[in-house]
Amino acid sequence: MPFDKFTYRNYAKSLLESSNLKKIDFCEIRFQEDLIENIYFKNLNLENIYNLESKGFSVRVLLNGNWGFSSSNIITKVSILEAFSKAVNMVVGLPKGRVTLTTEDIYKDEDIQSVIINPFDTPISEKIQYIKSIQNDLLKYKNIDFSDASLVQVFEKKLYLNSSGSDIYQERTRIYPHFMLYKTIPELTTLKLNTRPVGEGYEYFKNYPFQEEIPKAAENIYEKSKAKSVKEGKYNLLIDPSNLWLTIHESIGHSTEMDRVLLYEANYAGSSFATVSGMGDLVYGSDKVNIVGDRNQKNGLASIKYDDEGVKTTQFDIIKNGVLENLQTNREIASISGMNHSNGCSFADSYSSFPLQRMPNVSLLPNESKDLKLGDMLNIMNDGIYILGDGSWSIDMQRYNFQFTGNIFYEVKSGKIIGMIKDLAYQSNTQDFWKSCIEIGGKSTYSLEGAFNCGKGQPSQVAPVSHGAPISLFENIKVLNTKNEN
Amino acid sequence: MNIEKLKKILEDNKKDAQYYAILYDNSEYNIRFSDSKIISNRVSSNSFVEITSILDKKVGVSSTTDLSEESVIKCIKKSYSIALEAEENEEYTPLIEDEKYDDSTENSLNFEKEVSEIEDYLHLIFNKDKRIKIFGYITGEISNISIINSVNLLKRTTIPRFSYSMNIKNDKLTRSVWRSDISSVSNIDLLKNIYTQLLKDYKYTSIKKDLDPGRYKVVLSPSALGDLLMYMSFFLLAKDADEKRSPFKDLLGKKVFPEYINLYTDPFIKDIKSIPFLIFDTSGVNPIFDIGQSLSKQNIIENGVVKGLISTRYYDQKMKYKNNLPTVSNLILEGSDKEYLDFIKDIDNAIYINNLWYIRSVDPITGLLTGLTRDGVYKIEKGRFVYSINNFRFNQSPIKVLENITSFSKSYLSTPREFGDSFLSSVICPYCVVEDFNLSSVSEAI
Ligand SMILES: [Zn+2]
Repeated sequence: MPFDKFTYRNYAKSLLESSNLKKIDFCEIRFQEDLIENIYFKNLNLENIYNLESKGFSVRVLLNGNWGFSSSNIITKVSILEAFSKAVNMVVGLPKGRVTLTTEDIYKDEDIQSVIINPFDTPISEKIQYIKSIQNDLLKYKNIDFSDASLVQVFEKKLYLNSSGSDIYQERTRIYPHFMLYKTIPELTTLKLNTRPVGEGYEYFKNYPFQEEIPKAAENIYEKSKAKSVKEGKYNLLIDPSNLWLTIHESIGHSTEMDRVLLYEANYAGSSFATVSGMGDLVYGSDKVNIVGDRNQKNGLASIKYDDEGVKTTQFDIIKNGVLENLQTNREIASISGMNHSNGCSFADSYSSFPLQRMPNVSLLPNESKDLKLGDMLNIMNDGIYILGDGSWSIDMQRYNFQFTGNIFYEVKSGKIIGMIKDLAYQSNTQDFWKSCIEIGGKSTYSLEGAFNCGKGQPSQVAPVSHGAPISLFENIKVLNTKNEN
Repeated sequence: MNIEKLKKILEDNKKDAQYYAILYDNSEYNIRFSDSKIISNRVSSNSFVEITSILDKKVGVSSTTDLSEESVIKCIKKSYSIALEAEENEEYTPLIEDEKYDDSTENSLNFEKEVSEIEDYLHLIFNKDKRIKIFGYITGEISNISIINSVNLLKRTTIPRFSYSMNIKNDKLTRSVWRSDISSVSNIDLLKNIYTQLLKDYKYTSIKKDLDPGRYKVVLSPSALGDLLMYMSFFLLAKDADEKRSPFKDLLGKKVFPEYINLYTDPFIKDIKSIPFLIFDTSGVNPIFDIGQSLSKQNIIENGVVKGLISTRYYDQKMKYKNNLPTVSNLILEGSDKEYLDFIKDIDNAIYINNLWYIRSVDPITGLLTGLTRDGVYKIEKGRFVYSINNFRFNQSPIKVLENITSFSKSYLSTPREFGDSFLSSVICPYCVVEDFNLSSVSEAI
C-alpha cells in the first residue's frame, strides 16, 4: 500500500482531536516510510539486490515530565489509538520526570526535496549495467585485483503532527555509490574511489567523473603498494576535506551535541568534554577555526526544513574564531539548559525510533580573506604530510583522544609532493588538534563529504550527515606507524 | 500474517520462480535512564516479510513492513521483477530441501508488568545515595523468526532476550563503573545484582593513579575479550582469506595459537538461546542460497589450530572445504575450571580492563584494531584490585591477543560493550591474562 498521507493525517487528527488528549501534556505522531535499494557487486558478479520498504508510525506522549513512546508497522485508526494507550501506560504513575519542552512555532507545510532523477525511477537493469561497466573499467587494470562496489539509495517520507497543531510532510532522497579497490600482491593494498554519500538524486552517480578518476586510481593503488612505511614522529599535516570531514564529525560534531554534554548518552555513545557553561567561553581551537551547524545546506545529508519535532531548521555558529558558541539541541535539552528555542536537531531513523538529538551538517568554514589553493597550502606547510580520503577512525567517550588513518598519504618536502608513504595513523586530542590549526584553505578547496551511518542511542540508531571543509593545515601532530603498533 | 498464509500467497503468486521467505516479528520495551532519572520509555512492535525470488540463477530480494495481503503480493512481484532484471549469480546453489525445525514458543512480552517492576526498582535506587549518578539501559524483546522455501523447508524459532546494563558515576564525574547482564528470561534479580556489584566496583575507583602508555600484561574481562572476538569474527571469511584480503590468509589448518585455545560456535549452548539456522547476512558473507541452513556446534580454532572459517555451500564445494561454518551464531572460547575470584587471586601484577569501546580496524593485513578502555581499569597486585588507572587507547590485533593469552578462568556469558547490543550475537568466554598488550596512549575520558 502506498504512503497515504491524507488518510494517515485523518487518523492522527482523530486521536489529536479526541478527549484522550486530556490525559496527557503533549503528543506527537510521526508516520514514516523509508524506501531503500541496495546493489552489491564483487568484481563482475552481482552479489545481491535488496529492496526494502519500511513503513509505520510512532506516538510519543509527554506526561508529568516523562516521555512514553510506542510504535507499530500496522497503520490503522485502531492501531494508533492502541499505540497511544501503550505510550501512556508506560509512564502513567511515574514520579515527576525531568522533561520540559521549549515553546516553538506551529507550522503547516510540505517540503519535497527536488532531485533531478529519483533513484527509484531509474530501472534496476540500467543501474546494474552502469555499475558493471565501471567495474569492467576498473578491472582492466592489472594492479586492481578486486573491486567491491555498492550502491545504496534511500527515499524517505515523513508526516509529522503534534498536539500544538503542527502538520508537516517532507520527502528526502539520498544516494551513496561506493567502490573499494584491492591489490593483493605482494601484500594487501586498498584504495577507495572518491565517491561520497550525498543528499542528491541518481544524477550524482550518473554524472560522477569515473573516466577521469579510474586511471588515476589504478596508478595510485600501485604507488601505494610500493610506498615506504612512515617513520613515526611529529609532523605538519595538510588535510584534504575528504579526510578532515570525519575528524570534524568525531571531534567537533559529537562533542557539541548537547544531549551528550548533559550525559544522556553516558551509558552508551558517551558524553563530552564540552559544557553548557562553556558556550561563549571554551576554547576549542585556533582563531582560524569557524564551525557552523546547518540543516539547510544544499545536498547535505542532514538537510531538511523541519526536524522530527516540527522545529524549523536553521544555520548556527558552533565555533566562532576558535571559541565554542552554541551546542546542538532539541526541544527537551534546550529547555533543560534554559534556552528559549531548539535549534532543530531532532532526528529519528525510522518510524519505530524514538527521536534523539542528532547532528546537523557540521562544517568548517573556508578562509574568508584569502582563497588559498592546494599549491599555496603546500608552500605554507613546507615540510610535512598531505592526507587524502578517510580510513579508520576512533575517539574516546568524552571526545578527547582520537586516532584516524586515511586513503592516501604524500610526503611533502619544501612545498613539493615527493611521493607516497603508508601505514600512517594520526593521534591527537580534540582541543590540541584544533589549536594547532595554523591555516585554512580558500573557498575553491571546499568540499562537502559525509556518512550514512552515524551511530547513537539505545536501541541504536543511524543518521546521515554531511560535513564540509576546505584543505586545512595543522602543525606538529603525532603520527604513528601502524605496523609498529601491532 | 502467519507463515501458513504467507506460504499460500507465495504459491499463488510465485509464477515460475523458486523462492524463500522470512517472516519476522518482534515486540520490545526499552527503558533508558541517565543522571538518576528515566529519560525514555519505549514500547514497539514490528514485523516484516522478506521475499527472495530466484529465476534460473538470477536473484531479487524485497522486504516490507506492510503485511496486508495486497502489500505482500506486491513484495513478491517486486522481488520477481528484480530477479528478472538481475544478472545470473555465479554462486548459485540449489536451495535446501525438505528440512523442518521448530522450537518456537507462544511467549508474549508482559511489558506492562515488567516495566513497572523495573521502574519501581530504579526509582528506589535513584533515591538511595545522592552522591552517585545512575545511568543505564534495559530492554526486553521477543523475536519470532520463520523461514519457508519453495522446496519444502520450514523452520521457526523464538528468541527472547532481556538485557540489563548500568553505569554509576560520582557527581564530579571523575569515577565511572559499568556492568551488564543478559538472559533468555526476564529476571529483575539480574538488575539488582548488577547494582550490588557496581557499588563494590565503585569502591575500587576511590584511589586513582596515572599510568603511562606502554605494552603491559593485562587481564581482559569477558566483556572486553568478547568485543575483540566479535571483531575478529569479521575477519573469518574463507573466501577473503583465500583472496589474501584478510588477516587470516594462509592460516587455515595451521597452528597459530597456544594449544589451549579452543574457539567454537554452538547454537544449542544452554547459557543463552541462539538461532539454530542461517537467517540474515550477519557475517558479511553472501549466503543468499544458504538461508535456512542448519547450524551446529563447529570449531573455529581447535587446540590452537585454525580449523574452520565462514563460508557458503557454493564456495566449500568449489574449494573442497570440509570444516567451514555458515556463520557464527555465537562465539565460545573455552576456559579453565577456575572461578573468576580464584583466577584473580593468582595474578601477581597486571592491569585489569573491564570494557573496550569504539573499536575499529586499522590495518586489514595484520588485523590491527584500535579502541579505548572504558569504565574500569584497575591495577591488580598480589591477587587484589589495589587502585584504578586512567583510560587508554589501545592498538592491538585480536589474533595477537589470542596468541598472547597465558592463562584464563572458566568461561562466562559475556556482555561486549560495543557489539553486545543485538540478539543476533552472543559470546561466552573467560577472564584471561594477555601479555604485551599495546596501550598506545592515555585517554583523559571518564
Ligand atoms: Zn557519528
